[in-house]
Amino acid sequence: MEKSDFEIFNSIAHRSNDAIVCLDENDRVIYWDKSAEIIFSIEESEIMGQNFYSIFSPSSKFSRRLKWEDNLLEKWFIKSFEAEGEKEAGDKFAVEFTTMIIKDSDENVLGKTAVIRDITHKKSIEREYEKTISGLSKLHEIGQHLHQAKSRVDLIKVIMFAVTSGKGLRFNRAFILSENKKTKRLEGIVGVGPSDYEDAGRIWNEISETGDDVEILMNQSLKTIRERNIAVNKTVQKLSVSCTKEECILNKSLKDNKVYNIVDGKTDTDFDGSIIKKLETDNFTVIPIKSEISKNYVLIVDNKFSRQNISESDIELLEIFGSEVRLALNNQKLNEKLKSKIVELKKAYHTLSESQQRLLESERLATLGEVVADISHEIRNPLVSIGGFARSLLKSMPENCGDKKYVKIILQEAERLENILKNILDYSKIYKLHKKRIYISDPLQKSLNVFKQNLENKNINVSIEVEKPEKKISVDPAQIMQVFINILRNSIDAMPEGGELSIKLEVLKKYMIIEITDSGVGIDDEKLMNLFRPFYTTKTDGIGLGLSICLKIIENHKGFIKVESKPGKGTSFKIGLPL
Amino acid sequence: MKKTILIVEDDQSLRILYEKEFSEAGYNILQASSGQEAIDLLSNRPDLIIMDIKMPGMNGMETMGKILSINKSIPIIINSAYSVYKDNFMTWPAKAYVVKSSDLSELKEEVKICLEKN
Repeated sequence: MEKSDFEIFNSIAHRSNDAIVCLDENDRVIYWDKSAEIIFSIEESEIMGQNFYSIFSPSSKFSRRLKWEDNLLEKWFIKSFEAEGEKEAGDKFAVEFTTMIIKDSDENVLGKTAVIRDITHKKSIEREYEKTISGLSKLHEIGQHLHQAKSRVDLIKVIMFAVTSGKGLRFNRAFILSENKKTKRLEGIVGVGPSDYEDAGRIWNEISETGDDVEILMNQSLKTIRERNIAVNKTVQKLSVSCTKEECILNKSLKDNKVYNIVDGKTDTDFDGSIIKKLETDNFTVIPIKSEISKNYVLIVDNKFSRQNISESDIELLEIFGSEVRLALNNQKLNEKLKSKIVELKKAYHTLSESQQRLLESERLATLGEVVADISHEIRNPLVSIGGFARSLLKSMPENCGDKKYVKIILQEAERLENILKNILDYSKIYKLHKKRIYISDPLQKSLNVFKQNLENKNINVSIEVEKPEKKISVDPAQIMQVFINILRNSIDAMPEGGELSIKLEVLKKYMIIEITDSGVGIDDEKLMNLFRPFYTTKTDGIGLGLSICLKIIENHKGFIKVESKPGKGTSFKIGLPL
Repeated sequence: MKKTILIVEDDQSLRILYEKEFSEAGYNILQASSGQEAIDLLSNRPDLIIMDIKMPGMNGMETMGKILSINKSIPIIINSAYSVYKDNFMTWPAKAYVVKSSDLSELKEEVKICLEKN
């Protein structure tokens, strides 16, 4: 080259950050610019006239300064390639070579030119980028596991796996604490990771042999995990702290909902340094996991043993991870709520079904009641005819007529049927209460009067005790009288040879109590149980509705009725009606 | 003078029974088997009407309404198998409401009281 051309060339080369190296046809360095000096840490004076390839040779004087990763001699024939190496001080570097062969107009090789670009920075960005991409795809996989976790415990296991495993974010250790709103403390749940360097080495060897799978962790109980990671679990317990300690970085992280990366004991806010002692490392990251509807958690990760820096892309991945966990937590909570709502709904549905059944049943009964009422009324007319004519005949038959007793029987049976009809109709009626404020002794006396003749004939002694002053109560007089009549009838029937009938009226708490006691045959336990059941009777001429009608009437009045009885001793009915 | 009772009842057996019983008790008996027949028999000037409620065509309450609008002074006693109509205001103009029974003494008593008042 002409000197003036060289000067031009040199001035251009100087301005470029890329290194420009020229070799003669024997591969000896004939041009070595400033950038080449910087990139290779080799002075122009050292390399001029030397074979260029010596800088790649492990046995050359340059080998201490430059350690290359690959066998570059093979690559030289490729027009452009990348090479990575390590400088004397241990600094890693990467370069990009682009080579050109210089020929003259007759195609004779004059020499070679190489342009070398320092791509250390670019490479590290690429690496970070790849890490992020691979991290993201791992996160995606982990995300699946997160969302499939069936319980809170399973979720925590997935979190631990995700941040520590090789298939996840590959941190050395992880600790997780949960916020206990009752005790207002952040409490350590579990930690995963080696206890020391030896342990770390052992685990990494294990994993490289057997591979690590999320299933392994999922199948272990928390207890087992804690047992296998004793040291870190001791640490996580030590990390427990009260939520009121504002200077604690864990609390800050939750409060600010921010990921804090602590590098060499510092982060972009002041905090209580005692956590560094507890963790035994001053490089770690705190990730808050805040859930609106579930518990809050705090995750701590570090690379205590591998000493790898936690990079920007790591932080990004952790942030993404944090929000995935939050989502999964919320979803789980919603799922739980949904499940319990479904259980509630099922219960409600059952109750509704049952109610519906009961309604249908009662409608059926109501219709049945209507049908019964209609039939009963239809029966009444013919009964009136039969009974009426029998009565009429009886009147005109002389006393000594033999057939008279038969006609009597016709009348009796007709009357019996009429009685049954009346009972049925009374029972199936929907009781409309026509309440009046009266003295209860009134209908009581009236009903006693109905049986006046019977009482006298059967030698029954009646005694009435009324607590003075008597209070008025609000009842349907006709219906209450019906109750008294039914009970009195039973009492009288129970004393065929006579006896004592005592009636007591008194006020107890908020009820008017009417007690009717007889000294009759009494009721045994079995009958007592079935006493108020409709159509239950032990009498030959009854239909068993009398007392069930009483119960209905009393229930309509919002009162109560109790029976006490001893066979041979007598029976006592206690009626309570609200004042 | 013998009083005349108009019996309005669709059931034939009951009509025969009432006819027997009330004749023996000393009354003249007129019989109608429906509301319309009853109205037609008004020209015979009955002193009292015994009215059943459930009848084909016009029921007893309607019939009573119509009769009273023609002659408001004629006493009417309702005699029904149903007690539920007591609550129905349409039956209130009746002088008495007697639920049907094979024992006719209550009905006979009410008839006596009504006719004595007039």
